[in-house]
Amino acid sequence: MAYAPHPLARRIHDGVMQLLGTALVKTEMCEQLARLGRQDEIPANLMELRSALEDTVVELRLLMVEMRNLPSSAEPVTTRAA
Amino acid sequence: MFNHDRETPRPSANAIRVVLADDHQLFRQGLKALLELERGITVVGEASDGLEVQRVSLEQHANVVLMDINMPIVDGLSATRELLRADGKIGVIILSMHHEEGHVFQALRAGARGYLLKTSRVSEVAGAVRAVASGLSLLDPSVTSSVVSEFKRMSSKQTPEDGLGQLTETEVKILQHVSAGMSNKEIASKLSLAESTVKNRLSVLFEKIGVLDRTQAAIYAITHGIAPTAVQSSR
Repeated sequence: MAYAPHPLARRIHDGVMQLLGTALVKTEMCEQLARLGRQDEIPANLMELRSALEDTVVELRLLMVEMRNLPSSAEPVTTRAA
Repeated sequence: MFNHDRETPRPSANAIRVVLADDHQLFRQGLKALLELERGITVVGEASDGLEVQRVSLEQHANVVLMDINMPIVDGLSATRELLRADGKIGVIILSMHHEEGHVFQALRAGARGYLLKTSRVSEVAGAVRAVASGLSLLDPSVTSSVVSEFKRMSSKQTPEDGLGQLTETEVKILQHVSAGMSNKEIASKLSLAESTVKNRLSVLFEKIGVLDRTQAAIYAITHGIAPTAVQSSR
């Protein structure tokens, strides 16, 4: 069944989720480098991990601002109609 | 950042040749560096869109492609379909953040032989690459339940005499080989049959299980639990 995802859902997928995917890969990289005794390469990977997390925070803040202006679906229908 | 001069394993001549397709460069770089620490796997190419992945995979004679769904120009599902049309031997594993069953079924219909989430550890991705390169299929445990539910739904609509129950032992074997991505020639060689016999048996088989083509037959095999599927047991 074809459907168009809500623009916010798409933004969460394309932005936040992808950034978190990258962050997960970076944590695993640090883990592997530690296991291989290559500690000197870990700081650069941690910097990239931090950068991915900072970008995620920025993206989430932007989404929160947009979502504040949306009507709450949890609100009772009668209240919304009033 | 990863220092490639210090990589431990050197790719061997018979290593599994992998192409990564994802429009997020940092994710691709990280995954590449991690996969190249795995024995018997070498990343021979990267692509950032669904058109580039087809060209790179064919040029580099990829064995396995790790494919994202959301990519520019051509999405990962269409790219999978087109790529397999050009070379049916390539094993495509979808690596996505989507866990919805709709995406899983679309991926299987497109011909993908694996579906993993981007939250998978690299050891799991490497396991999937090895499984698919050896002709198996593999699904992430968190999406397997959707496939099982679909299997139950389809099963509840059938009597034992429908489809699967009508297949002979040889037809079941042919169906398993089809779901593993083998060509008629390969199946003929495997089962010591003439290629024309395999072709004829396939036509009968398709009619019995009510499908139109090999892709639908492969999905049928997966949803009916007769495909040689390797499912990850733990995360």
